[in-house]
Amino acid sequence: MAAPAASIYVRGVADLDFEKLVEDFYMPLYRFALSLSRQESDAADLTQQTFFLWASKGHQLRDASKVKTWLFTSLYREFLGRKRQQDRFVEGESNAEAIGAQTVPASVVNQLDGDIVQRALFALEEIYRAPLTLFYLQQHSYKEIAETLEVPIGTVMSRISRGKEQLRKALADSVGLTTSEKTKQRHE
Amino acid sequence: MNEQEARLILQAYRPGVDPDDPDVAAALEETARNPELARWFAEEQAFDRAIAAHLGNVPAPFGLKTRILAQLAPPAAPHRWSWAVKLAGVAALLFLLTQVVSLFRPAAPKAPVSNYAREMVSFIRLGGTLDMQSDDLGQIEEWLSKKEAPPRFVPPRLAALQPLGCRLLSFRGQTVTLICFKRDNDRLAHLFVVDRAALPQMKSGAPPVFAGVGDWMTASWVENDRVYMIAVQGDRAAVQHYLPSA
Repeated sequence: MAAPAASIYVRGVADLDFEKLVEDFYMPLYRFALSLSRQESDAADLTQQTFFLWASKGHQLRDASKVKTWLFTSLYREFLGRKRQQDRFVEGESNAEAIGAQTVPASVVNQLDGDIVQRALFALEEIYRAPLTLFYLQQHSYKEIAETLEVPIGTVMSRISRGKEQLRKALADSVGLTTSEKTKQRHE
Repeated sequence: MNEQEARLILQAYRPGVDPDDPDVAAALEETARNPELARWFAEEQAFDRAIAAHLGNVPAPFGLKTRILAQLAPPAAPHRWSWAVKLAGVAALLFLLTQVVSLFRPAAPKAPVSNYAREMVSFIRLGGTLDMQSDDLGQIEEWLSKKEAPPRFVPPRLAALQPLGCRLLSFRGQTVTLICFKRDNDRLAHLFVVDRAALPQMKSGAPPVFAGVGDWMTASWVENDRVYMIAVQGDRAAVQHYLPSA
């Protein structure tokens, strides 16, 4: 899938249409923010703050083709800054043993309630959640994900791989829970 | 390239999004030779499409785009004027500013507070749910204390109303406490409290700053390094009625 608003890349940053920029990016930025903060109000504020930063500092960007990465990187830095302020940043690279492959067929995922998938995705450890959300937003190549999160490409690829494993496990658990809940309801 | 390496590469590959670099090409060739790998890759792609579709259906809050556009201006275009012209412009601007400031002093700064008022009123206009519902102000204050929300005092005339509950919002990275009260005729009154760091232009001891947002009127003031804001539907007199100084 092509990145949105390809037409805005043909000129300099000063020529960008602010309203179009908001139109093109506020939804994916909000979804990324929601996956990071897991709170709607925080996600909305992070999205607003990102455009506020763009309004005050965006002119410093020389290369208009980097606008998308600039916006996502700014949002991610803002999130990390706030998280550090809250003194809750204690997650690290997981040393847990590799999770065994879980079989959650795509056909099952298609039929799952959107909230279940969202909860499973947002419940992942942050180091996997951020790259995986950008991966599934389908607007960033893995090179751009690496630039946005400021980690090497190899790290992005391994985190996507491990993140997917965690997601599959969470979805498998959700499917199992849902099935047992339904069985329980039938017996009641 | 063995099957494990191919899987690692293909797991992070989305046709049409990621470039077809030599590693991807080699991994794709491997799928042509290995039917099990091909089957796995097809399932992987279907799984990715399903998750992406779910994520793509997550809605943004109603009015978010409007709020962004209403409050922010586009970045200033970089100019290519000479230094002399820039300096002359700055000097003229400084002169103008001093004249304007002298005219309006000591009026309170309006733009940042009006932004804050507009954003907070937009939240209550959306009619979102409260984080905690109770008609007992003590319980609400206890809940807020547990959440380490900004310390607050409730103006006596608001405290005399029936509380409905509270919610935590965010403004420029600062937590905002919102407490809702029921007025007569099913109308509401809202009290917002945020750390003054969110609105540093607000001065302690200054008279309340009034800002109208549609049919809502807000009054904001500083007390103990917190910015308090009351919002009610009505005119200036309606909100003034609830001020501590009323």
